[in-house]
Amino acid sequence: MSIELNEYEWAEKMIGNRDLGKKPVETLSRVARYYYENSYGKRDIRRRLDAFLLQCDPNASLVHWSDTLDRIVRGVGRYKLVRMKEVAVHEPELRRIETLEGKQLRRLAFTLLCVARYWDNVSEANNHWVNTQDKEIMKLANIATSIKRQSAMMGQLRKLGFIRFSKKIDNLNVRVLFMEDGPDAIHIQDFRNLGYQYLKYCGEPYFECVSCGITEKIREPNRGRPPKYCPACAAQMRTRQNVNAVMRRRQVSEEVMR
Amino acid sequence: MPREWHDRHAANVIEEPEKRRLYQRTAVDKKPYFMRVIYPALMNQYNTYIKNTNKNAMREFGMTVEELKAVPEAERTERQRDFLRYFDRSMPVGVSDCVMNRICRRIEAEFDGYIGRHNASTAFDYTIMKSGAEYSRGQLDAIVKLYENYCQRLRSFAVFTSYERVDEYDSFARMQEMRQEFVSECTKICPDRRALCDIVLDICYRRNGTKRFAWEMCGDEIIENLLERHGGELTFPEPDPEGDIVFAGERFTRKTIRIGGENEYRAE
Ligand SMILES: [Zn+2]
Repeated sequence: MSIELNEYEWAEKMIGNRDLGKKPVETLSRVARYYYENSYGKRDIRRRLDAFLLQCDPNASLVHWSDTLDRIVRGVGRYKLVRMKEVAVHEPELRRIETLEGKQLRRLAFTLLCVARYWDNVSEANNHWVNTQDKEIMKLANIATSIKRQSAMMGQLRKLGFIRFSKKIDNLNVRVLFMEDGPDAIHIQDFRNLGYQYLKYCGEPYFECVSCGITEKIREPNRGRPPKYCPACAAQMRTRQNVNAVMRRRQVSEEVMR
Repeated sequence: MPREWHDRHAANVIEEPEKRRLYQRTAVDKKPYFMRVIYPALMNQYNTYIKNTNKNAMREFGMTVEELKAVPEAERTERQRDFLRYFDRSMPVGVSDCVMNRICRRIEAEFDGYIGRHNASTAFDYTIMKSGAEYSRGQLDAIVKLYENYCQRLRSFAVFTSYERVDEYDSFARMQEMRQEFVSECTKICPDRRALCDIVLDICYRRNGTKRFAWEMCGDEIIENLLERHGGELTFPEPDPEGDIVFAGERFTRKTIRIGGENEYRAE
């Protein structure tokens, strides 16, 4: 499962947009649990999943999907949808991270901490483990580097007592060992670009998009005011303006024709 | 098939000691290595196992499993010895040197890195496939929407094929249907096929993803454009026992033909 602070609102949005997202099975599972929490019965949920799937992809084969959907509905009551406002990072933890050599390594430690605390908040039984795929972790930490370097950083964090590895040799989960109570220093309210959020906290030129809340880099920090929108939102807005302009022109020309 | 043949636990509870030892020794509880090729789930399981154990070996020892195996046994630490023992024991497929596995490995070694070696050449200039027709920003934006929808549909289709074996004919038929549907959507937005061709090329070849959309929507136009640029001439290898090109144990010669126009001809 990917990390979403508010799965409930997320599912509602996907239903509204008729969007299967990048991970269809995950989306369907959240949508199923959304219906479950709105007191629909299992048979009803199953029918609604069919409908949702067809709304997103009219060509989807219900026969092909039926086993998967059955499985999803069977497990629908197992996990509640996550509804979290934020994840807090404490001051002593940040001080501990500052003892690390190198920004990349700090970003990685920061990200592992946030993810572990997220899962701790979801379930106490989590016990500070990070089960999120390493690829996903690196993306969250905004680290783009070779597997070799990634592994070396993990090895370093372990050597310094920040994390420990799973005992199983084909399991990549790590357990965060440097959690510590203390006053809240940062509240994470958006689980994307955690690495950038850490750098922003350190005073580097990053900004939050006023539309979607993602933290992005300020490309030209010396150029006065930081941008308001992230590249994705800005592009979306440009497209909308273009479409509107085309529509207006068409309207004008139709009126002239008349 | 008796359960004891392929289930270690069943073999373990055989009462008669001699028979038990025999069955324990001969039980085949893993599919052999080569079978990965026909079971996508097994392929997945194997690849994940190799990837993850390598990452863990690099995290812990700073080297891959292969490199670790190359370290002389006496020089390995206790943790490294344990690691390798677990590595063999938990391997999800049977890696013995049976004939089929050996054939499989030979073929894999032959083709390893083949595509990479043969694609390493210079950057590709996709504009040689374009028509040079003009199109509007609005048309481009609308086709981009279709392109994104197309990619999403491909992904959702890929979800099954990665889980189970899908009948090839069935999969082909569904792809054809999907193609038809998108072609007609595209034509509604941009009735000029030549302009449409440039739009789909600009969309697909300016980003990293699959080029499939361009070829599915406007494959014919792309070929036409390439032919036009070459004076309608098409050169290809034809089987010929006297030929100077040797490929896969056969000989070929270069043949040129002209396609379309008044002067359609075959150059001998
Ligand atoms: Zn944004």
